[in-house]
Amino acid sequence: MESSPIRDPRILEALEACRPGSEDIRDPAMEPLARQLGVFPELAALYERLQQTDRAIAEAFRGVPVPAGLAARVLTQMAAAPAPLDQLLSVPPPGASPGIADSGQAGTESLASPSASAPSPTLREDTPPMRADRRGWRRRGWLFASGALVVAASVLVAVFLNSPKPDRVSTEEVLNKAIAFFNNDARDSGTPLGFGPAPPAGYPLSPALPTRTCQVRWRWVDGFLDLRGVAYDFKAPGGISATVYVVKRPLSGLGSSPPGVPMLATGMRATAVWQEGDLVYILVVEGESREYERFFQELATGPVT
Amino acid sequence: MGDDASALDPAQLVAEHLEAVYRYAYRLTGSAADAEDLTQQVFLTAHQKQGQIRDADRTRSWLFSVLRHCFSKSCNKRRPTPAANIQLNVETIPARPPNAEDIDQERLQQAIDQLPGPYRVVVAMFYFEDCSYRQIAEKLDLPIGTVMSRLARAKGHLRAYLFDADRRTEAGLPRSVARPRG
Repeated sequence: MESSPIRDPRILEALEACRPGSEDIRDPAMEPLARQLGVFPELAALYERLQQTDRAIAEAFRGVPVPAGLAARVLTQMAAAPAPLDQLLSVPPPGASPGIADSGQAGTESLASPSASAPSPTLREDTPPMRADRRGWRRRGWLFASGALVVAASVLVAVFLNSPKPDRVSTEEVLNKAIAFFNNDARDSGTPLGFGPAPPAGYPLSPALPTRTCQVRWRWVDGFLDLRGVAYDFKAPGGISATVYVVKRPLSGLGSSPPGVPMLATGMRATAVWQEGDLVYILVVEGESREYERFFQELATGPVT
Repeated sequence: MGDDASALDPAQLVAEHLEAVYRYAYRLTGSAADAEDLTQQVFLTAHQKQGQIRDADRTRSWLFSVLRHCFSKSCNKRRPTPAANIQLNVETIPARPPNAEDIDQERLQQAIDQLPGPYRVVVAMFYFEDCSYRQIAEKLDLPIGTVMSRLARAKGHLRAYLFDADRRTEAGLPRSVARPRG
């Protein structure tokens, strides 16, 4: 006889993911849940109650009164705003033939209604008639400006590609990427610390992670946050596995040591990130918050019994 | 292709989508002033980048994605809230499912406000946008497991805050025991 699935987190998460009145339960990924629903009447009853509860919450979710006059305020702001970017770009150079402008901007023209272009009347104004030679100069000037823009953009791209990656990712993105990387990482290929070549001096292990009580291996990793770095794989005495990735990446707002609780715990992975000098350390522990805390206890004191 | 130009008329855009955008913004931010600011931001962005809207039928979905992006950017300025204290909890599913009108709007908002930003977005996409877990994962570029985990925990938290008192009262426990934490 099968044991009750109501304690199985995977089944419960699947249960919660089914929208009320939807066909979500027919999704192939929901097959284990669908099977259990047929076997366990108490699970089926729970599912039904959850569907009804979700229906009520969804309705309540939308029950927000809208302040009076909001539409007028938003429209006023929109009218005062600069012209839409696509319209600025779609203004043909003076003297350009209408045929060229029409064909080049067909995609965006259909979306820019006349009224939507209201905030940029000056750009739509008719220009006074110009002599043919002035139009020629203006056309060449336009081409020159376009060429200069392309060159400037290429230089900027080249500078960007050769500079350290800017702080574009949020801490949460880093943690999620770390989990995804960890899930696909070959963690048994490293060199044991103290045997063979030493890890590179530029990517040292954090002093916050003592290695006295556990086996640690190091290895190069490529592509972690689009960078090359070093991974240290831990096997704690109580059997908990963890990896800390060390990369050089400027990130702001991080602590200088690992927190006592994970910053993100999801899908049986608990993670945290901190920064020491120019190095960012991202720790991924196999398990949930409890394993994360035990990992640090075991690093400090040996196995927790 | 539904590139209906009239859908991009500012007045029509606002008339058709303002209420939904504001309601969504309010649920995410938890304050009328912040929701109004966010709504303004969304419509200004829409006005500026209307060339990105290729299919007028999906304008609302596009506006919602702008809204989520603006909200997430404001969340990223803060340190992430540890996720450890949000537990999976189906015991909060009430024995007697409620009607929408039985749900205290103020308590619902308080419960949402207690969630970390990323959990708030996921639960709002589920309840407000009626997105499936797959659509949420796709739109937020997150692993499906992460979405399911966040969704389950966030929903459990909302129910605990909304219904725990009723459940305990039904069970003969004093109502004050069930008052929300923190």
